[in-house]
Amino acid sequence: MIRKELVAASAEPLILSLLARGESYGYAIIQEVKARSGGKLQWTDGMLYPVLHRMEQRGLIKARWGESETGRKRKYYSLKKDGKNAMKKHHEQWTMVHAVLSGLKKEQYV
Amino acid sequence: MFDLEQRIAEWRRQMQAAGIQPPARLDELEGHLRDDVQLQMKSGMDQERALEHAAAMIGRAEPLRAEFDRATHASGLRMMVRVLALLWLAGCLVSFTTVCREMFLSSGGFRATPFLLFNVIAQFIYLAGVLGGVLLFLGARSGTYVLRTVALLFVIACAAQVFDSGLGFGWRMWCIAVGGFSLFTIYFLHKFLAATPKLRPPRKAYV
Repeated sequence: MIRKELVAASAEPLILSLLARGESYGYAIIQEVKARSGGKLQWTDGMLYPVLHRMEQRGLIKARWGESETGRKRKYYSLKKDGKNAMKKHHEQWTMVHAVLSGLKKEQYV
Repeated sequence: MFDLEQRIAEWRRQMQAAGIQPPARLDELEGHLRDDVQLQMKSGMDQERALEHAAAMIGRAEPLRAEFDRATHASGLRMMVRVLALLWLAGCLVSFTTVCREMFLSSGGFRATPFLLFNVIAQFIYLAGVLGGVLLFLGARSGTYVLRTVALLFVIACAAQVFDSGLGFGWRMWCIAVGGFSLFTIYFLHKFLAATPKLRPPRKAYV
């Protein structure tokens, strides 16, 4: 299981990257993250919503009420322009961290 | 007999009792709960266990409410910061143009008065205030540093004028008001920075 600090830090870039593929809703976002991480990246489901709320307030994403397949009300989120820029920044930073870690690992074990 | 709808309504009431508001937020959480119940039932769980699982995954109401409160508090702070930025922007812009008018357009045109140096310094401070206001309004954190510095200079200038016995009562009161507002700005921006921390790379690379 991944440490909660890392899970919290990765929430925003993951949400932004998932929404970059198209609009989605809370439950689907969580399921997608679980599936892609093989269940290793697990959020307390409810905690996703304050994060989404904060991102909406910051103008990174926008929300609209729609209908689910069963006719229930459902809130859909999509990326805004500022969100795209924030996502690019996150990607650059995480790629840089990954590159540094990979480089250090190579030096240690090769 | 287990009644799924009744239990979901109960769960919603518990969330509401813990302070999770408004109803739209509860609707969204309830939707999430129902989606998970549906998925768990598809994978073979009975209704009761599926609901228990879904509710446990959403988590307890109190920490969730606290997290929502934090998110709302942060957005409220951001709104207040924008208002503060606009006030500084407007105040400094008006002061800058007023002093400019006095310096260049007053009767007799531009003259080197004993207050010239004071006016030039004040103009730079007003311009810094305009810059800080614009930066802060646009959401740049650098705006908080610029405005705090400007506010500190205002506090010093206002304090000096309050203790100047040659000035009238009205002007002194105005200085107390401006100085008080500047102190509030310093305090508020300090609180804002503490409430919305941001990881910054070190200014110097120690290699």
